[in-house]
Amino acid sequence: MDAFSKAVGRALYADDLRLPGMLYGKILRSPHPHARILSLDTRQAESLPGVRAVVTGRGLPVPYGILPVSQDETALAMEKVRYVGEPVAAVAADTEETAGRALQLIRAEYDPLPPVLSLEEAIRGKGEPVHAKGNLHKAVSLKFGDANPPEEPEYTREDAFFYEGNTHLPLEEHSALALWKKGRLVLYSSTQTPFHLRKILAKVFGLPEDAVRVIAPKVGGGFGGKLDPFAHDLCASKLARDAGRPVKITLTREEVFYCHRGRHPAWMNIRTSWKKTGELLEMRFRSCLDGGAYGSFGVVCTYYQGGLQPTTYRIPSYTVESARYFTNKPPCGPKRGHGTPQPRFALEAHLDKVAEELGLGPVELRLKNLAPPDSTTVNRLRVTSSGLRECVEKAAEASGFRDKFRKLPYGRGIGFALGSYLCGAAVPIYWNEDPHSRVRIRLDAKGGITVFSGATDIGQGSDTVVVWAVAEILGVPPEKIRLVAADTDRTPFDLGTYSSRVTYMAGNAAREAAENLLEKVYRRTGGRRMPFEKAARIAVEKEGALESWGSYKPPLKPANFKGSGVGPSPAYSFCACAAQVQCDPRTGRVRVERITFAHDIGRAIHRPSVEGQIEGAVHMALGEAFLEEQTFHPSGLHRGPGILDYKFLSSLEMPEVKLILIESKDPGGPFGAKEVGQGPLLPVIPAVANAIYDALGIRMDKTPFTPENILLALERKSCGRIPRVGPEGFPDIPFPEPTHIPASLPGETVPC
Amino acid sequence: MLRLPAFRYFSARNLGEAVRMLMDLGPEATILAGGTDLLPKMKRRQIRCKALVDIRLLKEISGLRRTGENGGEVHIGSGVPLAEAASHPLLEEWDAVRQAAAQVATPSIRNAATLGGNLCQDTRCIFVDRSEEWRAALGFCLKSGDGAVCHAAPGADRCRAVFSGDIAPALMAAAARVRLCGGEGTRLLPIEELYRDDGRVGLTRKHGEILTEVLLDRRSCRESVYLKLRRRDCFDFALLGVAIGLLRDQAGTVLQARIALGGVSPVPFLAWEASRTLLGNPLTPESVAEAASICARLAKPISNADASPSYRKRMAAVLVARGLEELLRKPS
Repeated sequence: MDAFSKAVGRALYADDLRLPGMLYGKILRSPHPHARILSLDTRQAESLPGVRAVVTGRGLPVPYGILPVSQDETALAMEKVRYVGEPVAAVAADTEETAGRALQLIRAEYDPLPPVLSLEEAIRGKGEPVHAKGNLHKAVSLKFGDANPPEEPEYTREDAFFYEGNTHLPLEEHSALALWKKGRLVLYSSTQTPFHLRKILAKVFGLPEDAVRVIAPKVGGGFGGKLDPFAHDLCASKLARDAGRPVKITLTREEVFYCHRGRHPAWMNIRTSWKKTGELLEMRFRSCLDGGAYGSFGVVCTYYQGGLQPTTYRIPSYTVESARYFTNKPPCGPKRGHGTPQPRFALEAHLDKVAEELGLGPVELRLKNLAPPDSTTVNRLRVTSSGLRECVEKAAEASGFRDKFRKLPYGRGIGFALGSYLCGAAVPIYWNEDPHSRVRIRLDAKGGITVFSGATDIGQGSDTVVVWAVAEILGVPPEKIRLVAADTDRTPFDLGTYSSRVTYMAGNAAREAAENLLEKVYRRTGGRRMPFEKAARIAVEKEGALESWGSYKPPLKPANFKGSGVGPSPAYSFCACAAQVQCDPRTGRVRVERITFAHDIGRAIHRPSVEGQIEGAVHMALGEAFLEEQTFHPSGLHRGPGILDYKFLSSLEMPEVKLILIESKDPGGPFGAKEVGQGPLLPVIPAVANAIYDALGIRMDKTPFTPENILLALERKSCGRIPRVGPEGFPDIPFPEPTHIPASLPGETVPC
Repeated sequence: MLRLPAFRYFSARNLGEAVRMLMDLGPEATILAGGTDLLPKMKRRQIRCKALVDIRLLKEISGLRRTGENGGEVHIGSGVPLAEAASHPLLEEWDAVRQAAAQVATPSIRNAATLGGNLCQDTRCIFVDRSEEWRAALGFCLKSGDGAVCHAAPGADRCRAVFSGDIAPALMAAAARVRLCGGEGTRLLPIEELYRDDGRVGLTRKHGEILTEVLLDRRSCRESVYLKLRRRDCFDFALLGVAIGLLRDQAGTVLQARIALGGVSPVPFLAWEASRTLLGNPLTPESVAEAASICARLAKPISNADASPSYRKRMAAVLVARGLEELLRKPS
């Protein structure tokens, strides 16, 4: 849809927008990881010529947060700062330079407190906690299925893993441009969720939602990093109101690292029990998340730690304990895969060890325990279509896995892993009964077709999906269709771009809207055969235009237990990945030679977009596996908040990706389609870890797999120690008694 | 994005004019060539200069030419872009120089960045190459601002910021010389004399002097190789750069050897102690191993780049051995 305009630089992103009289906003940020704010003196800044407005925490005191249960942020810090980079004041001035000078004139006095910078420190809880209620944000304890394993276990294994935190690194830095028109707020923002942002703006400014308009222009990547409402959105709005002029705030790359909301560092422990023949009997999964300074999506992430293991494997008896702690670092939140890549890494690496000890092939062990299609998992998730078995078989075959595994020369290896992800969360963030997506189509007198969709294209291609769905039903070329998207005034409600929901939900709404339009046209033309354009002309003769609507609401209710809202989805994608690596045992460097990837897409609506998403996910996953880390200096400062120092995968390290699309044709998906935006990231990281073991005989139980750690594990191996790098055991966390959810609840109808 | 501070811009038409401009403007003026090192540092307020003298139009620093007996000398203008140096036919026999140039940063940066700029690039440190707010939050150090501490090596009394350029070690291995032109005339000096062991100001170039060209002589080096350690195969500065230049006779006896290390100290340096072990004999696995282990001992990186010092030190042995093995495989 927009590839050409983006390629030639014609597409307009939030920072490209300029309005007459527009001012430039800048944000003053905390230099301390943890400190009480003693005083903030903005008088000098206010009197600097060219400064039009200054705001501090007192000016925007209403707390908010993306989740109703975590309304723990304010746009600007009030009494305390909780991480380096936390916004404390903002100014708007005629020029960026003046705004920058004004920031330097703000006198901020702090009383530094000892910072909480690691999980260990947060758990130990010495000194003042990050939040008044203590450092423990959320602890979840759930037991699913049989109270005891169905048979006496013959083999048990326990492993510990650590997954390092990392960030999204979208190409476009966040930007927000606010203006007020007759008491109404209009905000252009690089956001994934214009409708949620509208809700928060309305809350903070005490306005009805109708008095706020949020527009997402082209968004240059999000990956979850543009889901939360941010200080720059609120500050631009406030400054614009105070100054009576439009205000734009565009973040620097460094500031994007402070917004963060990226992958939680996770310390995990997994224990499973088995029959010797390789049947899984029981699993206990424990996870402890380093959440950073605020809630964000953290509660959801905590539940997701145990959420999706059962969509790939049958687990008769399953216990999940997960917790999230506050620390004095930028808040973690949702990044591609949300809370599932860390546990997926642990699970799939653990299975590789189990398979070896049971003397079974990694593929065979997995095949023995696959969750079947059309089933309900132990944690009450309804699996509909599943091409998982086919994914496993095809990926194994195309990669030559069985011929290569344990047979390649020293230094070369192959690893295998599976993944699965939601096609949209079945439960909205704010509980209500309304459809999750609506699409409107207008057919005008000249046969023009305009589609109105609230879905937000952040580069993943959802605009293409919506338009192609309509084009397919109407039988017109996609180029003939105009799209108006992601504008809360002009487009119908849509929950936004997260949880891999857009193709499934907005796609379904678009399909339904197009079908309804076709039906109307058909009725008005008496069902005669004719080209669509002619039919359209006849159909709109009377009113001059014709309109139709479509909507989508997931056809299921979550089960009746606390936490059951996290995980349910109308469908799940499935994937299998084989990674082949070449390791240099002298330098510790690993080159990924080839990724073989089979993905159950349901049905590919636009094949190049599907392939692009998988290749992109492989790229991001390899970055997380080998390079990326959002880590901090003992002073609380981010170690490298820049695009040179934060190492992501370059195109030169990108291997050949052999793609296999499995089309399981989901009964509920638009044209049978399922998600591809997030799931493909999941299996890549453990597949690589397993491949490194096949190559060198060392276990990388901690990401990223740096050359230093590979050499460390090799050293341990050569002196007879356990050849691994990773954490031991699991921290002592006060989990509550687990809530037991038996295999079937009394009086419960199977959700469908 | 970060914006540049205000500065005055001058474009010089010839070498004399450039030198005069620099002298007239005084120490607050800086030379602008490719700008790929300078401008980001100005954006981060690491370098505060009020005026830039653009030397990109200078004919005196452009192009490559061959001189000397049988054309054994090559002059490379300091204004030659790295992309050109990486593929120029006159540098066909200078493997290390080409390999080093080809491994700097990214293709787009190599199109803009110049040979001279790479040689004169500022030293780097993970506590210095940061925004002004970041540095202020941590406290200014010996190199950034007026601080008196070193965050990389607390207790150090002088700055140990690291020289991470790729071309300098390659030129050292090739026994290259550089020409500097200034108000007081022209100097021709061995490349290693361009540098001094000070992370704050690592160059001996005086204000007003312009590095105009690099001279290579076939008589001092016949074979060479450059190997670079970094996290990724592009973007990244060298965590370690190893350049080796050899002159061997028909029988393979090493007549001259120069092993240079970059990325592990404030100056790129010639590891003479290691180089000497190779002299007078053909390369053998034993002499290679010995030279490699001496280099690891001589490399003394500190915690100011993104890999651990122990890893970088250890890799000095691996890369030196690999470089020598590569030369050993080639017919001399």
